[in-house]
Amino acid sequence: MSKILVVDDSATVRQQVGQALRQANFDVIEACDGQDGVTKIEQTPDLKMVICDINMPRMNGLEMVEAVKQSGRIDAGLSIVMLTTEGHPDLIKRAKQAGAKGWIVKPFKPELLIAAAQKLAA
Amino acid sequence: MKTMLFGFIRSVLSRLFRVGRFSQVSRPAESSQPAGPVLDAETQETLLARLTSCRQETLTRLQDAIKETEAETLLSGGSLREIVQEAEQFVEEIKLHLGKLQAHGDSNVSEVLQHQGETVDTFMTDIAGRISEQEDIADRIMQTAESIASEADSVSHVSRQSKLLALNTMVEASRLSAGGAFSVIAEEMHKLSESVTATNGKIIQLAQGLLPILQKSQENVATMRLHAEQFSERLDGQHAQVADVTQKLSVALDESLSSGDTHLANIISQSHSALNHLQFQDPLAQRLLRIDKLLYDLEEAAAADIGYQGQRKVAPIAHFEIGGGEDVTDIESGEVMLFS
Repeated sequence: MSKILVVDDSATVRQQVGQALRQANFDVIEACDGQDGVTKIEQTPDLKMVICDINMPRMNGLEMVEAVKQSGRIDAGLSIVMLTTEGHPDLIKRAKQAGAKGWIVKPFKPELLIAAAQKLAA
Repeated sequence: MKTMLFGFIRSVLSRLFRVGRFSQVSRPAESSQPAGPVLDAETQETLLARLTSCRQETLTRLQDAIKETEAETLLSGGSLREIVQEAEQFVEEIKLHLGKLQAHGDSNVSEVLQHQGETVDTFMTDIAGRISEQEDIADRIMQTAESIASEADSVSHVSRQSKLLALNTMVEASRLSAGGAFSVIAEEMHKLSESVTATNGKIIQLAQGLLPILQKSQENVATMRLHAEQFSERLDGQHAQVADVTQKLSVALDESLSSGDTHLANIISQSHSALNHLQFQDPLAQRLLRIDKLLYDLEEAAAADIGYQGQRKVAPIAHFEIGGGEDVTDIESGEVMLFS
């Protein structure tokens, strides 16, 4: 069962994403902001994928992706997909440059989210 | 809660507009540039501190409102998830139970019917065999009785001949000198003939008495055969009825299963749809929190209007400066864009 980390300051988003992924038999862990996300990533060596919000307190999603990139985990195969209400091309470009594998604009469609997770976390 | 919140925002905006009016009044009408500080520094600080306080209070209320909607959304999400799980579990259980009922009902009734049919068939075959045997026996007894009667007739004829012979012997005995011996023989022959006639009469009487009994027995056997056939027909009819009811039961179970499936699938689908709609809470929360940035911008504008030169102490909450609430331009909501 592949492990996926959901990083979002909104508990409702974590609940919705978690429910969708668990139903598709993924093992889901959660983090409430970028800083918490970095910690959870460090603590979980067998993590396959991260689904990450952009706008979060303490450390935003883009900063988190850049920090994870520096740690070498992205190059080691960890996939990060941004899940956000934002859709500005500059942000998407920045995320891509930082090493994110994809971008999803909220509200997400569970079936598409699961399809992406099955592709990236398999 | 929403009404209170909007009322408060209107109040804050109203205050900001009052500041705007104040600054407009304070600047020269003919100039589009700010007129420069017309308020002393203390008044400026007091005014801006009040605005900041209002903004912070707004933010606090917004955050409270968001927490409240978040808690309610979480509860709704949990409840809907439970509904979906219960419905899915119910679907599985109903399928299992109806499947068992269907399988057991069909097989049990079929097995019982088959077993019963086989038993009855064996019984009826046995009964039919025995009835046929009884008919044969009765036929043979009838034939034997008729033969006895026929033979008795023959014996009667012989007896009559014997009587005639005895009579002739008596006549001859009276005519001959040594007729004593013939007379004895004739007497004995006469007695024998009488005895045979008497016995034969009894045999004929018995045989004739036997015939109605045998006829009655044949009638009884025929009645038994008729009843057995009627019973067999009725049983076949009942089997057909049971088979028909079983078939209808099977169809009803199928229809029930199918109907239940459809309704439960609708419940699950609607619950999933409702779960998706609960995602509104996060974008709503982010939009509400952007009010803080708007209020901050208004505060900045007010500070500029009154010529405030100091350093603003309370910045808007940091994480709204990332995207700034830009509308989606390249990607639709829900769409997944995977980078190559």
